[in-house]
Amino acid sequence: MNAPAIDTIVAPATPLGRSALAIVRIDGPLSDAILLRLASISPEPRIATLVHLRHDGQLLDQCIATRYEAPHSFTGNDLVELTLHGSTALVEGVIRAAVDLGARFAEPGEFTERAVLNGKLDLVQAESIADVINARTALQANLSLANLEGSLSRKATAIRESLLHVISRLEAALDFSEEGYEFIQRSDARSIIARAIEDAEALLETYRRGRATREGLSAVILGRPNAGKSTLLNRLVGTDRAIVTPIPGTTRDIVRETIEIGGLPVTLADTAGLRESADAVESIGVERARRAAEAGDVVLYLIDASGGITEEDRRELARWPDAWIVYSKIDLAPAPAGSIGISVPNERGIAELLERLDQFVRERFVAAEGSLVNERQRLAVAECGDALRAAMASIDGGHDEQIIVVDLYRAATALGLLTGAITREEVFDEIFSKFCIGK
Amino acid sequence: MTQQFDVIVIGGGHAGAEAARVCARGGVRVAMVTMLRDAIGRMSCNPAIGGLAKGNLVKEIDALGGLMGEATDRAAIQYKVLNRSKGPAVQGPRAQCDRDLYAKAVQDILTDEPNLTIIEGSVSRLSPEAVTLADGTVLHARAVIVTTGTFLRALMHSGEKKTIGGRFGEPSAETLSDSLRALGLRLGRLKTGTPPRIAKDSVDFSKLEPAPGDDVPRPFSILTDRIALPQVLCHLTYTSTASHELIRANLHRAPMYSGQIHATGPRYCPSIEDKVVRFADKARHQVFVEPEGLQHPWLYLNGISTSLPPDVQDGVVNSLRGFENAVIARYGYAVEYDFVNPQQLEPTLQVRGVDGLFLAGQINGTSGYEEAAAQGLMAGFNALQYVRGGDPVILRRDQAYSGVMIDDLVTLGTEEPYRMFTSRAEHRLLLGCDSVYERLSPIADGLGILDDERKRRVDARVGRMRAAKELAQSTTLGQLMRRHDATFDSFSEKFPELPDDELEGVVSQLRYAGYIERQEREAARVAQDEGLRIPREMSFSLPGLSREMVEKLSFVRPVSLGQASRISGVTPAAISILRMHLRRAS
Repeated sequence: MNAPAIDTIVAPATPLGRSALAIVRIDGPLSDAILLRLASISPEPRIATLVHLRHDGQLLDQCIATRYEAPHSFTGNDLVELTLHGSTALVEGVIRAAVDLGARFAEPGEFTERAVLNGKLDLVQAESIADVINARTALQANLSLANLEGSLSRKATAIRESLLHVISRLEAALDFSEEGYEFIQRSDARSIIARAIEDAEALLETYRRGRATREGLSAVILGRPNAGKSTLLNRLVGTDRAIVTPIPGTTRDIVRETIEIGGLPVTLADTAGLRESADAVESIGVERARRAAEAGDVVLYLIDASGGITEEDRRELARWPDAWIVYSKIDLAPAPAGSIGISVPNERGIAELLERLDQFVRERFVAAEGSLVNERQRLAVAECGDALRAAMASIDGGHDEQIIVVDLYRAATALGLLTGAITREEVFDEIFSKFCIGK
Repeated sequence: MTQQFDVIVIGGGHAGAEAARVCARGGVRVAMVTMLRDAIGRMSCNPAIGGLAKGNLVKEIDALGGLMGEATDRAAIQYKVLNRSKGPAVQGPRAQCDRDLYAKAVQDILTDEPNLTIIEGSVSRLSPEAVTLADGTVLHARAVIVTTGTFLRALMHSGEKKTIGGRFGEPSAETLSDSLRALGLRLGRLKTGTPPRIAKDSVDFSKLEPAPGDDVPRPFSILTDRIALPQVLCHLTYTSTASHELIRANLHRAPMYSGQIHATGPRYCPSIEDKVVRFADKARHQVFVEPEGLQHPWLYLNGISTSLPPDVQDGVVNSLRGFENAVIARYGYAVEYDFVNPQQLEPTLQVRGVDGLFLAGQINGTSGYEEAAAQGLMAGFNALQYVRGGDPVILRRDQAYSGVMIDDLVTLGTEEPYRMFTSRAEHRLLLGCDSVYERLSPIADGLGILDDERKRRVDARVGRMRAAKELAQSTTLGQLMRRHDATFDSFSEKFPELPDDELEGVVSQLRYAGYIERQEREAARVAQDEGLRIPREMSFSLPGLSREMVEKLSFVRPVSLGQASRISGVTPAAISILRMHLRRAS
């Protein structure tokens, strides 16, 4: 029998551009041979070794090479990592040489895909890699790392195993009903399923925070023209991002900028001042402002303290019951007692506002380890929960084992799809198409 | 002497009988070669047909025009539907039979087939075109079906004593294994056992629990109008701690424990020594006391199959309540035999790479009459189609338990004697006995196998049930039937023309309609993978597949992606790679 023809792939693992260092990965059966041809030596496995890479008589670079032998590598295959000097030309030269020697340029996500195919990672872990890479704050990275370490997979697997335990015993009760043995009591099956429902529901509840933590939040600044929205945005961002003039209606389109609040990336949106306008462009801006607020996680509604709250403000606020009312320009007039007030020029109230936002984000949005972080994961657990409730209804309705197990299998399959213990092509494609080359 | 046939069936057991019958019905010339004409259709172990999942197989055989259901109804002396309290998909009809009358029924049915010649003899050599008998006779054919059961290099164990033979008093087929090996087949070794038979007049029945059958016997075959034989009572007794102590003290004398038998036995039909060891906490085990026949002087002790030596068997039997003075008429024994790893077969049961040679029954590693018969029937269909140049006949997993079994065998192989269980069928709700004629009879009819009478009865039944279902659905009766606390009796007066089993079928089809539809959708989704065919010559050395995956796939050579996905140890990831490759190639 022929050895299976796994091919060898190569790609940069760091972004192309000028930098101190750049890493190129070569994965597959030829990786060692390619390194030997380029460096004239094959270093000890897992020992970072200084080598000179040469191809066609030309020196390519002086670099650190690390060789991993299958299955003790990220992908589970023979793998070489070259830490080059960070020049685009050098990186491209090394990749060209590897391709000359039999490697091919990797597809997006192919290294991680190989790790999954070789059983080094499950699907949730593979998704977590992308999340770790894309993390913009330390807190986001930590959550993704926890899932990469398997904290979500372990939860799903624990529920799934408890269900397989019940299924196997109910099946035995069907297959051996004449033998006079009792395999599981109804009440035990019921309590295991009840427990699994609780676990699935608890897991499902992690999604709101999990998603918020992975994706970040949006905070929308609303208010009447000249309430000081752009001034606040610029102050929070720390640059003159939005144009500020005394002319009402200066901001027309939405201006967005992201800052870190409560450990999460929060995208602030400065919007057009809310008023009836004959100007077509301004009207569109007002419409966009309202739509952004509908989709936002937090709405800051600014009111000019010197003008006080107006009829228009009251009408507008009726639409945003959860909005935070922030009085601006408190250097000109005080904010009503007990309300939030700020003055950007005098740097008053800003720290307090940020402190409140920080606390709000941490309390409401920051996820715990082992949270569901994307829609695919949420759907799987929701399906599991639905199936479990159906199974419970069958038990309580006095149905026999064959009907109960139909839904238990459905629940177990949903969890299997979550971790990749069971897979379907579309799940796989969906996951791996999101990776960038070299990861 | 040379004779020419279209199909030769080697063996006259339950697989051989079905294979020969269906080929003969298909209008080709068939020879059945058997070592002993009188042993055709013999029940070598328990005197019963059917049971959980096995009963479904018998109904499938009947729907497909096979003989097992008919033979059972001619010999049955007690009927009982197992799992009666549960849904129809997992109910298993079972019939206690008169052992001698059962064999006679099979022999009578075969004798009635004009296209079938029965030849007594022992096969010494075989190829797909010719079979050589021990006396030098050469039989030629275009297809050969091997159904030799437990007779390949068979060795019987009773305690330390070993006897060559496949069944008590019958010889072993010693050289056939070599012919199979010469064809490149890998053989393995399995064991099975049978319990002691007891002289009926030595048992005190007053101390046994009665085990009656159903009040209204429900025949297996659609051709049966009434049960011919008188119905009898079976009994139940139990092992005791004394039995267990005796067995434990003598474990070293049981061939399986002493290492004398190297073959693998079934986990689920364990010997009494297995049960005592594995269920050490059980104070007693059930033993069904079954008559061997109406007039037969012996009883069969279902539940204490054993290979312990005779003196221990005496002690164990005498430790059973009611058996204190019982006399063993024939001691239990274990038999070990060669089997062919069925992963070397196509889903048609043809040997891969050997056109025209089919294997069916225990030779493929199964256990049980029903499993053997269902394979015999399917091998018969496919040999017939092979000879006639027609399309293969392969039942899907969502179509029949037989389809599940054969797919399991050729895909997963087996490490122990394979027995049919309802849990092996993932689309179980579609496989109830109530819908079997609707599902399967058209297939046999399409092959020209069904006789007019069977066809007429099938059409009438299917028509009646359909009409009743439609009537129920169009009235409030349908809603009432869906309530699972409603009793069947309340509907029977609304459908006086509908027999009870058909009414139960209608009610359950309405009651479980939601689940049935969901399984149908699931089956349709899976069918897409079955539709992705793997070319016969394709190499499995694909980029991304590990050596282990390549080896597994190359050994089984699945015919579709669906089958590949069920091979043990083939990972979902490997299936994804295979799928991408097949998509790209097509």
